[in-house]
Amino acid sequence: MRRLPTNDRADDLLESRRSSAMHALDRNRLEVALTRLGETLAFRNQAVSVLVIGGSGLLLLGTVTRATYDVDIVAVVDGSKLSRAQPLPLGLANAARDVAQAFGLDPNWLNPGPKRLLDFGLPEGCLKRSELRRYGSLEVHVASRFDQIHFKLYAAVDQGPRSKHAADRRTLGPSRSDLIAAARWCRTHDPSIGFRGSLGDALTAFSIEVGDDEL
Amino acid sequence: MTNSNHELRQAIADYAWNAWACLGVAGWRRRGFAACIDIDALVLLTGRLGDGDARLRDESLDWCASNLEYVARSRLVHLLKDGGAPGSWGAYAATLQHATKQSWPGSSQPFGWHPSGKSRLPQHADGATLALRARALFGATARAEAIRILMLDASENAVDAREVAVEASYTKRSVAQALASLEVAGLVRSTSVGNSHPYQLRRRAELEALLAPMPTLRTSQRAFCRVAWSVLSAAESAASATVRRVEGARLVRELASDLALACPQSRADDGRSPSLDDLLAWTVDACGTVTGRRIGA
Repeated sequence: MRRLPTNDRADDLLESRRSSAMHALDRNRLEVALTRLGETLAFRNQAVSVLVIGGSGLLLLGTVTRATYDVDIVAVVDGSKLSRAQPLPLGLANAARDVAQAFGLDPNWLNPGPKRLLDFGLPEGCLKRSELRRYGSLEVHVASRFDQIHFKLYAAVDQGPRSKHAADRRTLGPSRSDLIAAARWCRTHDPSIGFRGSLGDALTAFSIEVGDDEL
Repeated sequence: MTNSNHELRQAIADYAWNAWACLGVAGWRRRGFAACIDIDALVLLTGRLGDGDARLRDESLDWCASNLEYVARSRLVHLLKDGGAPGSWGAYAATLQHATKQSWPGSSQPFGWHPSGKSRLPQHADGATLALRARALFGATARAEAIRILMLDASENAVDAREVAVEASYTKRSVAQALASLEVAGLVRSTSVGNSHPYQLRRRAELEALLAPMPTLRTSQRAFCRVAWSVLSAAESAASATVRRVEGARLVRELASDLALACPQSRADDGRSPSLDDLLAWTVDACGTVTGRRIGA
């Protein structure tokens, strides 16, 4: 039989929910937070350019309305060159932390996304396809819908069909060719047979059957 | 500049004038100074303030040039690394360098200045000038700083050598050597445990009798000068409401340990992070507490 939480646990859960609600970023709060971050960086004579993926990227594109809790930065952009975002550049990390402290955001609202995405390679042309937003001296390259399908498929295979990534991927409304392109890219990150099987399952959830020759 | 920024600059200048008057600078009707003046931190603060009060700047230069043996230039090297904006320090240091023919850290281009020759050392001992008397006895050295810091520790508990080094603003090695010498002299005792090296004053009563009187307020004026300058430079450069809030958060993050040393009650009562305007109001108030001037009273 499931045990009822004690009062302490109930308080913790309540506090955790309150805290989550307080830190949730809908599109408006996200835009405001990035504007404040850009203004802070400009005041500190710092300029930063980043590539953003994940839920916050989808919010900025207007593809989803689901609130997010953080902004995943997959790379720091310098012209056409991408470099690891882990760790975040010190000036950016400090500014993000101060904005969080001043305006009650989650202390980790801006964080480096999975470093292996960059290590194993982003989809070809990802930066060129991204949508550029400027907030003061902060440049945010938002990964395109096409590239987000790649990342979401990869994350959904990793975390299962019930994850938020699978739901986001459905919202993105990928075509068969989008999914096959995404699946091919996923295979470059993990060529194992086990992953191929999970990838097939994920595609089947979209009523797409693909042969090995297509991947 | 907003009115509150102006008020803060005035309060800090008033703080500096009162401290300098206690040290013997001419031309200011002193009201007193409740804390122990940190001479080098005061020199740095005054130099950074620049010519907003030209007479304060010029008379403090006169005192420094006349009493070079009481200013620890090697300590200024460490104090300058506090992350604060340089302000007008470079020109102030260069002017001293020109006048004293000695090297001053961080100097840039001097300005035209002529010594007034009016500065005198204080004729009456008071709590504010404890550091001056410690330097008269031990020289402007890490040893004098260590004695001052341990004497000012109101808790009379052992103080870790690392904490002494931070407050003394000398290298850890210099402070360790100074404390070791003072232990040989029988003035401090060490109770090392593992990596911790706490030191406690011995013969406190004799030392207090020798260097008396003690100041009524024992908070760190090194920490206060750093906080005051950081808040002023942030307040004068941050214009928008957003930046003022964020800079407040930055200052709380960067100055956390010095805020606690300068004023143990400086945290906002409701647990929220103090804004820049909270810090500004607190600094104005703290200047008044030290100098006996109640702002707005």
